[in-house]
Amino acid sequence: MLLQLHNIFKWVQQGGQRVFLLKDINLQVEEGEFISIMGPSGSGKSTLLNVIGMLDGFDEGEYNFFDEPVHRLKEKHRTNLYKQYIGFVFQAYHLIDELTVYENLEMPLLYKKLKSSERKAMVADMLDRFNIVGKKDLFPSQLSGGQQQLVGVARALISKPKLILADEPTGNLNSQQGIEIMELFKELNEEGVTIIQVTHSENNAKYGKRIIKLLDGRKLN
Amino acid sequence: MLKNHFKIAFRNLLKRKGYATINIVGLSLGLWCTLMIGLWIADELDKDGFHTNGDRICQVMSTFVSEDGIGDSWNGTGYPVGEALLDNVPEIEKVVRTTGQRDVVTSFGEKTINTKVIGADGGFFELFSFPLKEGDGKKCLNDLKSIVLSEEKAQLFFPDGNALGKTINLILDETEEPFLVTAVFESLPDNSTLQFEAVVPLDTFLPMNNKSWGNTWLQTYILNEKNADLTELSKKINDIPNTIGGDANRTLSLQLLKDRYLYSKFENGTPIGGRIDNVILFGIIAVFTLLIACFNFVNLTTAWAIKRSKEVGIKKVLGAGKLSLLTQFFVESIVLVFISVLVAVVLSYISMPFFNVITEKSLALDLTEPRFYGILSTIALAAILLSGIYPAYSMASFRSTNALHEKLQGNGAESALRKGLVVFQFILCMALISGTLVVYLQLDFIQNKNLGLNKENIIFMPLDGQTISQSKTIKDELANFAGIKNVSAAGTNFIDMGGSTQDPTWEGRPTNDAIKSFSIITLDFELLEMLNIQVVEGRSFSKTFATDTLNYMINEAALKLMNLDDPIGKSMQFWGDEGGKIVGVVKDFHFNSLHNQIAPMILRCRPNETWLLYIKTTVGSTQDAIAHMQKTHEKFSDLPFSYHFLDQAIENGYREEQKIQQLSTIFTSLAIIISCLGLFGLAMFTANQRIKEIAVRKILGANIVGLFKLLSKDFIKLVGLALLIAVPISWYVMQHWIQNFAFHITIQWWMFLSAGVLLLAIALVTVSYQTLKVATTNPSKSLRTE
Repeated sequence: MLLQLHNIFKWVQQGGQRVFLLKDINLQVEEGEFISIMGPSGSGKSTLLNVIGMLDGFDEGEYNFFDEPVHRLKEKHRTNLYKQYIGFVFQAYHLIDELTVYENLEMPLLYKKLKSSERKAMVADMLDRFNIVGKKDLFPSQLSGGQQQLVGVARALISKPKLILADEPTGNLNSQQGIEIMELFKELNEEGVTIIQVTHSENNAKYGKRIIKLLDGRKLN
Repeated sequence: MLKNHFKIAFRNLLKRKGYATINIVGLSLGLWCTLMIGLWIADELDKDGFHTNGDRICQVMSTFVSEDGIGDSWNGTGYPVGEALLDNVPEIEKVVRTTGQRDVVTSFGEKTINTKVIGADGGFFELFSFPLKEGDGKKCLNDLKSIVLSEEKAQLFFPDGNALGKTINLILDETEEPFLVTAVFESLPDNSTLQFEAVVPLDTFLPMNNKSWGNTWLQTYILNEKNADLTELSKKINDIPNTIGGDANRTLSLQLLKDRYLYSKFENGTPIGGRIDNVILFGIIAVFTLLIACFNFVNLTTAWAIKRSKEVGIKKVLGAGKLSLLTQFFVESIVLVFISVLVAVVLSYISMPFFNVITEKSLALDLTEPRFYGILSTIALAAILLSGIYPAYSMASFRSTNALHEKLQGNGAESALRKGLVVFQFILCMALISGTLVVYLQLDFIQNKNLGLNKENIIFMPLDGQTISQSKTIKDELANFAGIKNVSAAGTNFIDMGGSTQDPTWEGRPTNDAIKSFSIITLDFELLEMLNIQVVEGRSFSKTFATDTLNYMINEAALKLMNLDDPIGKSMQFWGDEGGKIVGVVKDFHFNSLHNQIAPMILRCRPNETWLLYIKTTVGSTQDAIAHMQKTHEKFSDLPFSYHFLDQAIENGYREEQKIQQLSTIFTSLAIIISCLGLFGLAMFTANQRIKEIAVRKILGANIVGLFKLLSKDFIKLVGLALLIAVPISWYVMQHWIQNFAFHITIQWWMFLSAGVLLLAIALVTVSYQTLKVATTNPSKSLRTE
């Protein structure tokens, strides 16, 4: 088992009242799954993804990742955990504007403190695999949306994560670009990478092997 | 990783040129200002620091206590003091006495020049570290007719370099005497307060003075035992004039020679300040400017950090630790500070000559000197710490999920800090502006104060050894010239009246009267009329009364001190003059600096004892008159001709204040510019942040005036708050400063009001550029979505 959420609650205090963002979420994810999370705006999709990605904490419940109790870990330990196992893909790509494609890809490796020669080889591999060798010296602003997201996915993959979390990865793309990215996810999943994506689109959700529906912070199925 | 940090830093600077420019310009100006003041302070602190025995060389100070209990301290001591100290205080190892510096006419063959000569005891070159180029420091002053020349003077007299053993002539006490050159000393360091061009044995000047305890014509320096306690030693010698010399009104104390320059002001025998006050004042200004500049930096950096939040968020998601982010932003601050330091050094290099003109120093940016790097790196380090730590910490602490969605605008603590810093900056600015304004008004007051005399168009000219015997002829020859209205003379240099005397006695003085001291002014007929000094009682000296050369006049201050109801006709004696009467009272007038009260004065009319000619020229003929004076002088003397304008000489008494005024004006302007840069940057940022809000308001019908108010309101509130806090502080400080002057302006509310209005206006203008820019933008442009 990759991860397990057990009775997760998350709330904010608003005007003396608790407003629940996540309410009693139970979820088990096995390795190699491809899960789509769906639901209307404000239903808690992104929050759930952030909780899984350990970017956000929660107020109640238990979260085990590879048998590590995330809810009891110190921040540093948590950082190490997600640094090692999780890759993120965002709707707005979130590439660093001041760095070139090459440097953006290299960034996660720097934080893993890999040697320069290793980094070079891994970045070169990634550029090759995604067919963007010619674009390696360009800055994000010089790329189309689809190309930027391609770099975003490449960056998420470069540290060989077990799990990819994608928050509406095709939200800013046109349909052709969207399809390309989803095909890419499908391929990756077939190679064994676990993928959890948040999406609004029924078509994209269908790429997932399992669909989770959220409403007002509650899991529907 | 570090390479990446630098890369991002530089690309960021290039991308946000406006922000980077404001930041760098502000910081460089601040660093420049601090560096200049730092160099100046280092120079001030370094006076007389070069003596090898510097920690043990003290000057003996004497304090004269009058009956009212107020002690007046100065560095003059009587002839016997040195020997008495050496004989009675075992902790004192050496004593060296020197005379004050005198202009002495020196000649060798055809060459005649003025030389600044001091007399000194034999151990002079052993006590002080003035290295000799030639000659033996132990013996060079042994012979009464020996002289030690400076390198420069020796070069002038003997260009071939062979000065030792030559004989040059000095005119002392109106007679020419030969002196043997026994040694040559190397050029004196600029930071020596002892400045002279030649040294002769002390006793050369003895015939013109005497060996009494009361005649304090010498400076006495001592070398104390290693590790001697100065306070203890001072106590030990305190009473020596009384116990050994029988002079009950005088006490002695010690002051380290190194401290003399900075602590020259005494109150009742203990040093209370002096130039150190200015050092502290400018030190404060330096710290203020550096703080202002660094706060700017912090403000701008944290404000613009919001634009960087996405980057922080991504990095955190990709696994960046806090430390790595801290390092990154710290590196960025270091890069900016480093660039600013370079700019500041270049600015300092360019501005140094102008700065030297104002400060009358010869500072230089000596890149080979460790002291320069010491100062520079201290300032740079302070700047890095002050401006780097907080922004780095704040940025590294962004929460990744918020940062990614750029939700950081509403950080209350952050914006409170920003506001606090702006308020603090403007408090400092306000303090600087109102301080400068008060200094300016005070100096203006001094320069335009009615001194009780007319100083316009008056030139004074000293007679020398050759012309003094011809003074009558010279006076007549000058008076006959068309451009000269009249000529008179004095035996006292009004600008530097020197000491006072307690000798006078007068008819009606009680036998048990307290000790009273008076300044004595010796003058010729018609001088009072020339200077337009008013007679309030009795009459002025007049040639029609033959006995007036025995008579006296007094000023109002003296009248008050003497406590006489009807002074006219009362007899008065001192200095062996008998048969004189008081014939008149003059209104108080100033020559001395307005730092001091007007001294009680006794005026004596002794035409035979005058040596300073006072010449009043007619308007517009000053140059002709001077030419004529020079011609006349050259007819009677082959010594150099010199003259001074009275008004300039009086103004010179305020040089220190003028320097301070000029410097503080410059540094205050800089501080204001830096603060305004910061305000400008913040306004730019706020305007940017609110660009959408402004657009919506405009579409809903807001007009430009309304928007301008909306955007400026916050800043003006901050500046206003700063003003409120600053006024009492600056009022207190300036009230203190102004007490340095016996005659001063009263500090009034409108001074602070005008300083405040000025600052507010500057702030408003600064902010308005940005706000108007945003307020006038076409709303459709700013609302266009990506």
